[in-house]
Amino acid sequence: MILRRLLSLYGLLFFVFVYAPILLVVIYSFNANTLNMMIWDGFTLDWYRQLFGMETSLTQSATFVDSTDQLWGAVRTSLIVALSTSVFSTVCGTALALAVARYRFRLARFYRTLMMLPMIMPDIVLGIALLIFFITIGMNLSMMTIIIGQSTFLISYVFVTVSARLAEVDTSVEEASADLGATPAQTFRKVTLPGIAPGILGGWLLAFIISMDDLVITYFIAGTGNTTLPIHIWGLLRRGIKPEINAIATLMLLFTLVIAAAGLYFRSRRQK
Amino acid sequence: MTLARRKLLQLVGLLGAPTVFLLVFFFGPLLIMLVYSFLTPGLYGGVDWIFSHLNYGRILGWADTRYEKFDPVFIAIFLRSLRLAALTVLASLLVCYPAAFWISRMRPGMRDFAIFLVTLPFFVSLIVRLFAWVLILRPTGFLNQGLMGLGLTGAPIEFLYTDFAVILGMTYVFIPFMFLPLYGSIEKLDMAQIEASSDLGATRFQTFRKVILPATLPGIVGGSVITFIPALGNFIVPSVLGGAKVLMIGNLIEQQFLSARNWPFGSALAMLVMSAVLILLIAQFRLSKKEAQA
Amino acid sequence: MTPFDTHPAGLLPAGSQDRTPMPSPLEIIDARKSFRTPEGGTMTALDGISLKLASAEFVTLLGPSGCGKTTLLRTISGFETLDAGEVLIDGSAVTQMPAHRRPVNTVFQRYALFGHMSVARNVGYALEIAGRDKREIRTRVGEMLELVGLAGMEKRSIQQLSGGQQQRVALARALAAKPKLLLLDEPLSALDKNLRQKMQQELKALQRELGIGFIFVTHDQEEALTMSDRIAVLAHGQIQQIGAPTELYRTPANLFTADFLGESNLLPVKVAGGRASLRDGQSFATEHRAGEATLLLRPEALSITPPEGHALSFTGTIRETYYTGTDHQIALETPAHGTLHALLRSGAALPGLGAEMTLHAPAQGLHLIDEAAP
Repeated sequence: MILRRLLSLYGLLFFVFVYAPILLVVIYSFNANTLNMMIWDGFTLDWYRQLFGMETSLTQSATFVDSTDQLWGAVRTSLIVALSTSVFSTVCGTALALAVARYRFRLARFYRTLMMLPMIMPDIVLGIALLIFFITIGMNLSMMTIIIGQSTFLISYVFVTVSARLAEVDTSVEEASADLGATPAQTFRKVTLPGIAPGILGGWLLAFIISMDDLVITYFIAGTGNTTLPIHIWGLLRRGIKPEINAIATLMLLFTLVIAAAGLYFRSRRQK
Repeated sequence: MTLARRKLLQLVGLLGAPTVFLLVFFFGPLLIMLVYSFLTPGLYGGVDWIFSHLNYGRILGWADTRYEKFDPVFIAIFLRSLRLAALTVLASLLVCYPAAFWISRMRPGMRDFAIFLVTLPFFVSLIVRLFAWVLILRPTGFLNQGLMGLGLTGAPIEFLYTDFAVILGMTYVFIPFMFLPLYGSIEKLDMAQIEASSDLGATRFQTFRKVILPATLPGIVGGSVITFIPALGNFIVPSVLGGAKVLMIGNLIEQQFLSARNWPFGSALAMLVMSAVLILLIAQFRLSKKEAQA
Repeated sequence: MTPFDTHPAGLLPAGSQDRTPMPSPLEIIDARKSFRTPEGGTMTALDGISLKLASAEFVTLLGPSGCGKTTLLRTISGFETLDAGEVLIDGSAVTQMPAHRRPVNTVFQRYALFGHMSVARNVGYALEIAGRDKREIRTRVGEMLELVGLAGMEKRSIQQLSGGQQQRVALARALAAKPKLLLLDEPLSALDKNLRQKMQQELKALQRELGIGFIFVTHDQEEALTMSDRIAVLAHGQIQQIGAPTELYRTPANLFTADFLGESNLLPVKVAGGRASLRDGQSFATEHRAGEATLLLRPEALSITPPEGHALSFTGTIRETYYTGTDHQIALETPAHGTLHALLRSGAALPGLGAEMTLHAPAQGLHLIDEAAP
């Protein structure tokens, strides 16, 4: 019994370890103290007001100079990149998953192993390899190179997510559809797609979140002028730690939670 | 058109574009990196297309004795990265194993929710999570304030920019990587086996060592491998929490590309990391295959 | 009144009163197919199978798992491509036609109903795909549901149905587009025994009523014997024998069929000079060719009282008896032939376990299999 209690205590501490740092950031994003952000000095929304360009009582020295415009520029870049990358990766990953799951061909097993590679390749290796590649073939670093670079490994994430779902959808249902006269395209639209939609949606959300968060690969292939949100914060951190980051971090947290909650909601709706 | 041909066309339609994309933009870059690692660095950055094995020589011990002597600093950094990654794996195991065990014994509804809670931080921005630890570990940070408040220390302790901070940070960000494989194998544990073991007179420790540990070994190995891989090549965590003092192989590679501009040498370093990762994966694959056969 | 007593107009095929000879609903010519196994070997699923339906027959493909029966069915529906051979439906070759163009429909083993659609949309799927207008589809769906005894269930979702009801929806769905041929892939295996027997009768009645060919796959010999006009026994990718149930049961062509269909006692015999001799020296007249052969003695052919005329008799020790209500099953251990199984009508007085007993069989009309006993 003592062992069990100890285990429960340990488990609770584990969750404290996981969540306390994140909560700390959220709490201190409302701290009014502009000099020492670790000392609680009353509640304020000023850090958020500052981010949205509203009137605040903050002095210049408490904030990063010019950071607001750059911040929103970075958010914009991140959203464009994440949307393009996630859509492209979802199409490619789903197509590969369908091919491997629904057709008999010699290379199917090979593909399954191969699709693991981009996921386990260390970020930095893939990042510099892509950098060398783009420079060598004379492709200017741009938003395009970020989209291409991120897609190389995000396709794998979608592939895995959709494959897992495909394994649960009985192939005989698709055969029944063909048997009743539906062309492959009709079968896909009316039977396969509704069946694997949660997997595709899940894969897409996953790709979107990972793309929004990717730092290492983007860092090497972004070039100048294409700062994404993680790279922007990375830059801020190098310039010093100011309470504003708390507010940015909290907003990002909120954004992620909304997407994760949406993903879970769609999943639970399907299972009914 | 024959049926077989029609199916083949559909297959090519599905596979074609993604395959070409991955061949060009995934394998292409890796291949070019391999080529670069055997070229001579140009005077002003870039490369000269002259074969050279000295990029590897500089790391592994045969330096170009004319311009530079062999400096074991690179291999030392590599070994240090291996050590930090290994310590991270160890710390992750200690953190995650009991937690996974605890969660696996919950009732189903709670269990799913707990797993969701463990995986959720994976979706929280990496940079945000690391920033949180900066707040905690820095001299005026939460931890030092707490320690001083309790009177355990008079002056702030330097936590930030140490090996400790890097290991802690990597352990923290890789929790889901370790937790999920561990949980997968712990969940499959047969409670009856544990009861049988104690019924046959084993102490709790003996039961753990002789029944639980072997049964969950695949999860331990799996979790360790997929934690070790990103830890080895990591350069974000040491950059944020390790500062200039804790240099890992990832930082060294980054420097070769962004400040030193010695691309061939950076490529050789990256090849080294990649080889280490592949060797590890092949070893694990062999091991799991052997286990499956036994 | 069974659900099939009334059938809507238009379900009988147009050709049923036709004078001109109708093409065979299904003809398979020398079908061959092999698969690569995961271990890298090859497995021959179909090893030169030919089969022709004379008319709108109920034909069962019977065999143990792995005998090729499901593969054969799937080559008819178009889910497997043949390595060699031809498939003709209604006289025209469909070998290279994809599944969705073939005028056959299938009732799948686990029904394969579309879980995200209502009963009505499931049944009307083929017509919806064919682009028929909504009113026509609605009428047809109504007729089909009435045919299978599910009238008024249009709006139900698949999850709300019992296994037996799902089975009927699958049947209605497969019949809605008026297929030339209905394929059934072990459709009754998931039902419990009572429901299965009821469905067997209904399916048979339905087939007669619709007048289209049914190809029914099963590994259940009783099911095959009950329902079929003809049974094709498959093993190792080949048709071992094809014929009417009684023909297969009484005069199996080989040991496999004899053993697979029903219980059997297989005794080795030597044929010479128009007589077959058993191991223990008993003999009987036969027209079988000289050489080694096997005598088939069905358990119910053995009796306690000797039949009139010349008879074979077997004396041995009773090793096991089971009482089934109508019969006694007996295992008799004989010195010359090992264990013989007999089925005796209950009511006869039986000696107990371990007692000695003699059983008889008439020596006329015995079936010899042209294959040495194992």
